[in-house]
Amino acid sequence: MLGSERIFVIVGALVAVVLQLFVAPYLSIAGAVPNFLLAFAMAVAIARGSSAGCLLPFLLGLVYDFVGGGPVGGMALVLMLVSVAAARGFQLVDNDSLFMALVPLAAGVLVVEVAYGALLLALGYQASLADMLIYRAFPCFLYDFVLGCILYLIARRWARPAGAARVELTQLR
Amino acid sequence: MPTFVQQSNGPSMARRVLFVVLIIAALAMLVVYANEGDEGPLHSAQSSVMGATGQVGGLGAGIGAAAESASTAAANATADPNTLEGLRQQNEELRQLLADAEEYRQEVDRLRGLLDMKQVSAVTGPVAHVIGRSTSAWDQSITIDLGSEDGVVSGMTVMGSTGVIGQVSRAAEHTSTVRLLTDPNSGAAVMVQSSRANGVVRGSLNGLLYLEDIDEDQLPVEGDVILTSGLGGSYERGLIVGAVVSVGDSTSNAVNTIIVNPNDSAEMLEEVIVVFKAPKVNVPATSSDSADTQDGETLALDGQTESSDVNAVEEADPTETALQEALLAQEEQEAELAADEDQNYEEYGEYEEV
Repeated sequence: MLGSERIFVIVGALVAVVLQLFVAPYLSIAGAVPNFLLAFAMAVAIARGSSAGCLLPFLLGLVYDFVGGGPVGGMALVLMLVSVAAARGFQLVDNDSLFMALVPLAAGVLVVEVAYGALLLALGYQASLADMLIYRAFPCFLYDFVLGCILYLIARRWARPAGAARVELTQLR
Repeated sequence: MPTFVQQSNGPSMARRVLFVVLIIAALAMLVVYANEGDEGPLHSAQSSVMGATGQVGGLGAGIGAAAESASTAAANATADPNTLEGLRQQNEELRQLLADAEEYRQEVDRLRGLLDMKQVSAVTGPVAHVIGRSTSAWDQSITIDLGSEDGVVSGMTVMGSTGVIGQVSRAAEHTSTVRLLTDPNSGAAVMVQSSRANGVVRGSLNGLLYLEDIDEDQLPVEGDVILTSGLGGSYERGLIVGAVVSVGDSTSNAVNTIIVNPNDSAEMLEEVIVVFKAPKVNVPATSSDSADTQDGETLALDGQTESSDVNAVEEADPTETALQEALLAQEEQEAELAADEDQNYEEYGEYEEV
């Protein structure tokens, strides 16, 4: 039987896909298009910590690859690796404050954008490294980080595993 | 220590296996995608998904309109029947008619622009509606509602109301993906109209078009018109790409220094022309170098010159048909609107008297 946090993750992922397909193209600012899939995957990874799986970021990344026109498998690979690493990193920090959660979130989103851009360049994308960073990676990072912060606040309430509260109580004692 | 913490200290073996399997799957897809051609299974699947999402996007607009109608109907249903129900209804109808008329007017304007472009460039091809835009920041493309079933094939030139905007990169059965000229992966062989210097126009991540690979002694000046040269066969020849807006200080083979203003931006595009066939015209001549024109055929630019064989298109022109239909529909709407308005005023006057 699905727990409420899993229902939230599934419904949230579907909403993120819908937003990416039908809303994101119209929210473009100076070439930067928001990536709801990336923001949601990273927010859930940080919120769930060690309980975060690798299937969600893989699937969301794959959706992005298929609808975005990029190399299939690219975003799936990058998003899965980075979200798992960010979740493990956040767990190792062992500090559940909001600020300490946003640090791995920001780092994760930035690494995904830069790594995906680098992957595109490696596969023959016709742009320079500087242009990639200035015109795409950093603007998209800012956009996605803001989205990620909002989604993290939601995910922190709804996507955390049921045992997480018990862990916090144990740490307080 | 609570059981949860013990369980969360490391992923289970199944999760590790899944993790490794997904990495291998992603890498395998990447390798296959990078090595297969445009007709490969992953490219085809991607094209189908992009086309399907574009069509669903169109359905989404319909669903939105249906929801609005339902909302209006619900509002009407809850209104007091003793009030101005009839007038309200007519008002709603008039508003709807007004909105429809405005839609038709805008569509007529856009189609007129496309028709002008078709006439001056004498190209043949159907008008397609833009049904989707790129969902990724890394890809400058649009999805149109014509596909291989309509005769669209990969590589066809696509024009907006002011000139070339891109090229069909993938054609699915009923939809196609058009890669815009502003995409960094786009490149069009072009020539400067005045000097006939050949070069390549490339897109960039900052949204500008750059003219590259121009000979040192034939650098363009601001205002020079850039046309497709047809070299390499990727784009039809003699179509307007844009005009030079800035020339940098660098000298030979300037890279990223000669800027060409792009045609319609992707956000503004609603209809485009897929060029099935372009006339065998010579590259147009300006007044200063008209001697270069060989067959007496010229391509009109911004209405300054008139083509001598504008009417040479023998086939029925879909754009003209669409324009005529839109004009007729607009006239009918306006007539109906005027009649209803008069009637409404009369009834409102009667009501006020009562």
